[in-house]
Amino acid sequence: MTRELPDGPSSVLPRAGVRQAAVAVAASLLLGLPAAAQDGKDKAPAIPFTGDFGLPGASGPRNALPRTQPAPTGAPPGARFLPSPVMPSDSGADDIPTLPDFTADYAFADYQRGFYKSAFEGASLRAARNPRDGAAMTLLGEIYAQGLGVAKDLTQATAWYRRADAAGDRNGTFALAMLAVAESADGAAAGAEEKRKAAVALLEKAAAAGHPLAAYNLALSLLAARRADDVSRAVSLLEKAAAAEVPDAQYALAVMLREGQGVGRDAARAAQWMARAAANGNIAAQVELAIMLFNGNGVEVNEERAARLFAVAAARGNAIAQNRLARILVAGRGLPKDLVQAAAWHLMASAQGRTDTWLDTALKNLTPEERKRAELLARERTDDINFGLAP
Amino acid sequence: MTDKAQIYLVSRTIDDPSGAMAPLAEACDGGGVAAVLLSFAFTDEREQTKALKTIVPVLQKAGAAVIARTSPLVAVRGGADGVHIDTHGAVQEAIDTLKPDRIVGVGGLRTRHEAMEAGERDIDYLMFGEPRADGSLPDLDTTIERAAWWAEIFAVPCVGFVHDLDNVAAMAETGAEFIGVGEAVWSHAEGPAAAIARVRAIIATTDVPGREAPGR
Repeated sequence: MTRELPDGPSSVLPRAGVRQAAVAVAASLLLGLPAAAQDGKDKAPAIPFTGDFGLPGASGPRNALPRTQPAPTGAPPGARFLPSPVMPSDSGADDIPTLPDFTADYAFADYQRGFYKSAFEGASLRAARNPRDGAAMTLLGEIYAQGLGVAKDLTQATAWYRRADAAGDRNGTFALAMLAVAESADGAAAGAEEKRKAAVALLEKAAAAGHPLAAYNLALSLLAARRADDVSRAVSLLEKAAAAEVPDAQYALAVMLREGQGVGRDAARAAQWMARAAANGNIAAQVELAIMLFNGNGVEVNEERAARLFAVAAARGNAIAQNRLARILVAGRGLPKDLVQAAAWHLMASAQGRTDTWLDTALKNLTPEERKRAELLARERTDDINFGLAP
Repeated sequence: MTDKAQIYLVSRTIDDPSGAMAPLAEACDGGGVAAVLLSFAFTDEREQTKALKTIVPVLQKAGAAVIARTSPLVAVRGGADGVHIDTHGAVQEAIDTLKPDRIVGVGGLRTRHEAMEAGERDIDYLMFGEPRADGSLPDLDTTIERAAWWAEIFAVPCVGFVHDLDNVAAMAETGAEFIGVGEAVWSHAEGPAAAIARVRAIIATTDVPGREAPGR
C-alpha cells in the first residue's frame, strides 16, 4: 500500500501510527512553524543540515519531493490522542504480569483491541454512572472524533472532551486543545486567532496537569511566537516531554542544546537526547546522531556506529541517510568499500530527489553488469520500504 | 571493542565460597570468560569480603573481571573489579564511590525508559534478560529485541543474557557486546568448561548482520 502525502493543510489529518508526528504537524501548521521535529521519514532535519563530514560537496539542497509512505503498522486506527496506560516506548511485555484488577479499564482495553462497539457501550455506562469519570468521557470523545463503530461526529466529540476536561481528565483537555489546533489550522478562516488562543490555553492547562504531548506542543507554540523570553520556558517544557519519552520532544531538545537556544550549549547532552530520540524511532534523530557520531560532535567519533545508524535510517527510506550511506560505501569509512551497494543507495536517494554529482562521478566506472545489480538491489529495497517490510 | 561478543558469566548464588570455587575456576580456566558476576546468599559484609578475597584472585588470574552483587565498599575491600546493581538500587552511590577505577554495571531494567535513563549515567554496561529477583525468566524474544535495539543506537555496552545455550547465536547476532550465561553453564551435561567452550565456538562463527555490509 503506497500513498503519496499531499502537501498543504490536508496533511494535518492524523494518520494511524504516527500520532505524535500528526500532532506536531498540526501544531506547527497552526503556529506557522516549519514542521519541526516531526516524524523525520521524509523530511530533512529541521535545523540546517550540517552533514559535512570531510567528503567533498557533502552539503546540498534539501529535497522536498513527494515521497512514498510505508503502510502504517501496529497501532489501532484510533491511536491518536489517547496515551496507552504505559508510555509508548515501553511495551511492558517484560513486566511481571499482575493479577486481574477489578477496577481495570475494560472499556479502554476493548478500545485498544479494536472492539469499538463494546468500548463505546462500556464507556457510556461508566460516564452515565459516574459524572467524574473523565477517562470514559475522553474515550467517548475519541470514538466520536474517529468515527469508530459510530458515525463520525465532531460536535459530539467536542462535547465529550469538554465534559472530560471539566471532570479534570488531562487527556480530555489535550484532545480538546488539539481539536482547536486543527480548527484554527486555516489561518484565514474567521475566528482562527481566537481558536489559536483557546488552543494554547488548553495546552497550558493539560501541560500543567502533566500531559507530555501537551508540554511538547505548547513548547512549539512558544517557539513559534519567537519571543526571546519564551525560549527558555519552551526548553523546560521540552525537557518534561522528553523525560516522558516523547521522541519529537527529545529531538527538539537535542537541537536546542546543540545550538545553545534557550539553554546553555551542551554537545554531550545534545548527543544523549539525540540518541534517545533515535532509540524511540525518530528517523531525523537517527540521521543527526549518525552525523554527530561521524564528526565526533558531543560523542566520541565512531565511524562504524555512524555507518550502522545511517544504514538503519536508509533502510527506513530516509533520502539523506541513503545518500550518506552511499558516500560511506564509496569512501570505505565505517564500512568496507562496496561500489555496487553504494550505487544502489545512491539510486534510491536520487529517486527521492537527492541527487549527488560527487557520487555520480565516483560511480561512473561501474560495469553495466554492476549497474544492473545495483538497480535490482535498489528496486527490491524500495519495494520493502513501500510495503512496510523495512526494519 | 572487539568485533565478536564476549562472555559474561553469572555465578549461582554462593552460600559456600570454598565449594563454589571449583566450578567457577573450571569455567574460567580456558581464558574465554571476560567477566564473572558473583552473588552471595549471605548478607554479612565481612563474610562477603572474605569470600571475594578467596575467589577474586583465582578468576582474575584466568583473565576474567570479577563483578559482585554487593556494596561498593565490600567490592573494594574484597578486591573485586566492580559491582552489579539493580537500576532501582544505589546506582549513584556506586558510581561516586567506584568510578573511574572500577566497573559499575546495571541490571533489573524492565522498560526501555529505565534502560535509557540508566545508560545516561556513567556506567560501564547494562544487562538485559537476566533472571528476575523472584527467579522467573524474561521472555527471550523481548530480550533479543531489546539488546539489538540498544546495540544499534547506544555506545554503552550491553549484556544480553540467555538461559539456554541454543540461544547464544541469536543473541550474538544482535550486536550485544557481551553474552550473559548462567545456569545453562552450571547445569551443562559436560561441565562448565565444555559449556564455555561451546559458547565461544558459537560466538566465533556468528556474524552480526549489518556490521560487514549494510542491507542484504
